[in-house]
Amino acid sequence: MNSSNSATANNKITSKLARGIISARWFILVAFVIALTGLGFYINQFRIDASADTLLVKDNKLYIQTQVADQTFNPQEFILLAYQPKGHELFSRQTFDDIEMLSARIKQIDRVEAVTSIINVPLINDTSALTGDTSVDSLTWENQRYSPAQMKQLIVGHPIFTDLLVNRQGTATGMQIVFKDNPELVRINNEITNIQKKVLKGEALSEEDNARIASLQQQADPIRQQLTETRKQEIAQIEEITQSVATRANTYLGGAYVVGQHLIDIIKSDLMTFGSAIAAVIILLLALLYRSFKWVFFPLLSCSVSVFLTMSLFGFLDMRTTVISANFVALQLILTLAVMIHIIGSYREISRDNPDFSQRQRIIATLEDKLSPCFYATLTTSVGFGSLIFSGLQPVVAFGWMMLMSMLITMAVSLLLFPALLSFLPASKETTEYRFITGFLAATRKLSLKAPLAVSAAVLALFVVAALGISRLNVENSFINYFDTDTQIHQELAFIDREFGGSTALDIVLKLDDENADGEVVLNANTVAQLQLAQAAIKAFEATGSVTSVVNFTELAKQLNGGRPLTEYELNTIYVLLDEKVVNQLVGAYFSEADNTFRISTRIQDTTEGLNRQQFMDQLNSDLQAVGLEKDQYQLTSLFVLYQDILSRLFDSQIKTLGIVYAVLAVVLFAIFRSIKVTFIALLPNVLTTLGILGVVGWAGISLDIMTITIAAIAMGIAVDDTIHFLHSYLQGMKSSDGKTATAGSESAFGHSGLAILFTSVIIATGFSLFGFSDFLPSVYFGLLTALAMLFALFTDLTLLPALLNRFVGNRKSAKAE
Amino acid sequence: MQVSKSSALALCFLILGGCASAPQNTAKSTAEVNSVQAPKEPELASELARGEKVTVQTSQGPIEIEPTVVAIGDGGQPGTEQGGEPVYNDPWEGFNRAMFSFNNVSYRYVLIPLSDGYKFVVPGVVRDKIGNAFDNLREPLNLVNNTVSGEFSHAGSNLGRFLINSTIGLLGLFDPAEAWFDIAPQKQTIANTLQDYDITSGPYLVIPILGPSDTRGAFSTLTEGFVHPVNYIADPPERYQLRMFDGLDDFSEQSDIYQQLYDQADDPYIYFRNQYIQGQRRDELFELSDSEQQNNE
Repeated sequence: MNSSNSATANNKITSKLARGIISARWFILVAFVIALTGLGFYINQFRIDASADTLLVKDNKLYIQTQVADQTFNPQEFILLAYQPKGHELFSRQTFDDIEMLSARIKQIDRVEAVTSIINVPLINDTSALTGDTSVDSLTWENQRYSPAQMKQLIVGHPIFTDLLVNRQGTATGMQIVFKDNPELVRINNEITNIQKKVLKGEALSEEDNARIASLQQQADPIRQQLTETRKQEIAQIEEITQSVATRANTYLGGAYVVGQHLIDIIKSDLMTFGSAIAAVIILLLALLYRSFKWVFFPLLSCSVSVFLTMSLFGFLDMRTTVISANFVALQLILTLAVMIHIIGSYREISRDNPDFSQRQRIIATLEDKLSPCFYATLTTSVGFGSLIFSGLQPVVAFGWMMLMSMLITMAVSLLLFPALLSFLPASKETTEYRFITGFLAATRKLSLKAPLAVSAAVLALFVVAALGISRLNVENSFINYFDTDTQIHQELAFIDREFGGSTALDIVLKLDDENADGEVVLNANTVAQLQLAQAAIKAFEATGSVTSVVNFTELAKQLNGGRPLTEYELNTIYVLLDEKVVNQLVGAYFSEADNTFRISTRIQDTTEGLNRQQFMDQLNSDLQAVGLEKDQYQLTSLFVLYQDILSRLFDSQIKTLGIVYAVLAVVLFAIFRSIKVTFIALLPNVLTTLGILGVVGWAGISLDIMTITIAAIAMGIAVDDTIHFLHSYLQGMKSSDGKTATAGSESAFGHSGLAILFTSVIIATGFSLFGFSDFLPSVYFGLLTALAMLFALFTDLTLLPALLNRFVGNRKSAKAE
Repeated sequence: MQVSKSSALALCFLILGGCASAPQNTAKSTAEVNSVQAPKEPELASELARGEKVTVQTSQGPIEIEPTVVAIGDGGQPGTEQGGEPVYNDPWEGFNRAMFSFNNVSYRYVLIPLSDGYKFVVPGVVRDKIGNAFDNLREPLNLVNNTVSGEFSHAGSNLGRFLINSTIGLLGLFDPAEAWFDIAPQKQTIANTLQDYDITSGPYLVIPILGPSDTRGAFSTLTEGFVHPVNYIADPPERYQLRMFDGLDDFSEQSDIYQQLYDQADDPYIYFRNQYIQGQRRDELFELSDSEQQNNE
């Protein structure tokens, strides 16, 4: 079918290449064996680094500001353990005993520095406690054995401990497990921050600076990895310890580090589970479609080789998989397979048409037919992934690079190794294709031939409606909502989030003039008043959980002082009289005397209904200014701001990546088909597919986040493969016919590529939809939406594309004349 | 000698929270503007710092904030002291500074060593009981002051406490009135009484040995020196010893604090003066809300 037409320069090259590949089959085989054994060593170094930290964009101002604030206030790493009694009163002997026991056991964990709980914090009734002989430190339950009623009176509504050690309703108590810093890591981080600080002053980093940072990062890396491992063990240990009270109380573990740890666990297990599940589905579908051992074994072997090589390469290059890129195994399996299905389809057709061909002839004919469309198809897929490099979001950029590399490997495996392997097989008879499938294809072909304009209009209208959903797109990011609501992880995190002051940290760092006119007091009344105003403004939001700063201490002092405010001198007197160490412990995290800076620390409740994070940030900024702060007097820092910064760039980034994909694909398509008209026609179904997917995301109310933002570009990259195969066959069919008729082109396209397109789409869609079973919602969305994108692409490629080709490219008149 | 008694009163304001006390204010005349160039602070924060509740309109609706730390000077009623730093009414600074230095030397070389000795000899629990006893001796004076001020229920408390603590409480060594009968102390000095009659505090005044006060406070202290109930239960020589003992008892709790504060201040005179005046003005401003609270209870 394909070799009869006049050989163009392109075809000559293709056929030369095809022959070359077969001649060099031994060489190819050996090369792959060498690559496998050579790189294979590094597969052990393949790492998953799924900490929430990897989601951050690190070279910007906000990140450095956050680092500087951490350096100044040195907030310690902690996780929260909540204890909620099942049958007994919260303030009871049983609770105190349980907490005492849990604390003692948790404290034995190496890295735990302290366990702060209601039984070991000083509880003060009035000011006499501060001036008497007894030291404040001894006014704890542990020392005083207060009665349950006294404890209740002392703790519920406490200005400092509410939201931290007791929930607002007084039905559960929290234990703050504080971990020791790793001094080496702190030193390295400080050094890095000190270099990066330059950026805040508007200076650029020199070559030397960057080199120094890189070498410091390298030093820090093993420590960080060790830390991740240790944290994992610690969480397991704590969970085991809490089991001992499981009969009497519910316990919940939460906090940023716990979220991070759960992310790592779920991604690791997803990588394994869905990698193998997709492999299984692939086997099943291949067996079903081709009913032949070799068409199961060899594609699978090739897929495994490409995944193995890619993982080894990532190990060798020390590229780490993050939350975003964790799906690469599934992606690569499917993409490699897609290429091979086209090759297999062509091979089977050639074998059936020319049963007397030798294996060598069959493969050469297959390659001549499929080498260029397959090459272009993988190229366009690479363009889809490559566009992510320009997203401006570090983790997405890294994902783009990783997928580019895996596409290179996929190309090599499917176009070199796979045919080389096949050439060692004997030529055998191929099974026929299913009737109902070919029947279906014939029906759509006729429809698009008969009424090209009507079909085009209908498809267009359909997608316009879908695309309207784009206006409903929103951006949100809630780590807790990443986990399925039915999972225990979600329930634990949500409990801590709701009852114990939120999850994602947001710090407000204020630089205030902190001396009174006489210069006698460290903290003057105006400063405290300003802080109080800021804190009240922050607290007014429903989404802010615990809010802590120096103000909580002045509130406590006021409460102890019979509800009367202190004077600034009295406050200073307390400050002077307290032990320096105690001062540091109490307010060191909120007030830096040396830098004149204050920190109001809050955690945002991710479970807040209908929280619009961008609006929250805008309102917070305007409220802070409404209470009298100048813009340059405060900074918002910490995780929440960093994530929000990423979210605020998502729309831009989405538009930019899609724009690049459209533009580059237009160029590639033009290079392949050398016609503006064809390029436009080829592009249209794919543009519709991506807009349709974004529309569905909007209609479904799914938030765009750093994970879902990658879907559109990826979908485009994959979907365009089908278009290229279809177009290629169509044009070849048209050329081979006398009058360059649409009928001939359409027949060739549907008969030749239609089946392969259908198969790949079904396999890819089925494979990705498996992610629907994940507990990790970004994976669910990713899987289902990509599957949907494939079906959209299949639909447009079988309806709109042929309709447009028939109407605008194929010669309809001569078709009738024939 | 006699005066050493109420160094307690003077240093009382070092205790955080200060004792409830003191006069109704406004010294319009001699306000010496001590504050240097006031740094420009936003309006809301200064209002709050002057002890006013403020309400701010935010995106989440109006929020009301009550002060936790205040700086109120002698500049007048809240609202009249616009922006800037508190004003301190200290026309006699020359004299006051001299007296302050004299006091400091006395504290360092006489009172503190004495009170250290006292602390060394008398254990904490006993010091506590002795404190109770002296507080008990004060009750009749509180009673008179409360009666004159028209605070009859407080006066009733004074009477009840005096009767209970002097008898069951073993001459006031213990405080069963509060522990068993829930009768809280209601201290009232002559200064409080004068304040109730709208006598203003007058300029700042450092009293020998007793330290920071004002004209009204000084009058109160001196008068109380003569009418203190101790005068009626002992003959002169013992009496003076007892009074001194009383002062020492209070001072022993404060001497460490005094030294620490003195050492950390850039200008100790200013530090103690401002602390005293701010505490007084705060007490005046928040007394009302305090009694309102009691009424609500």
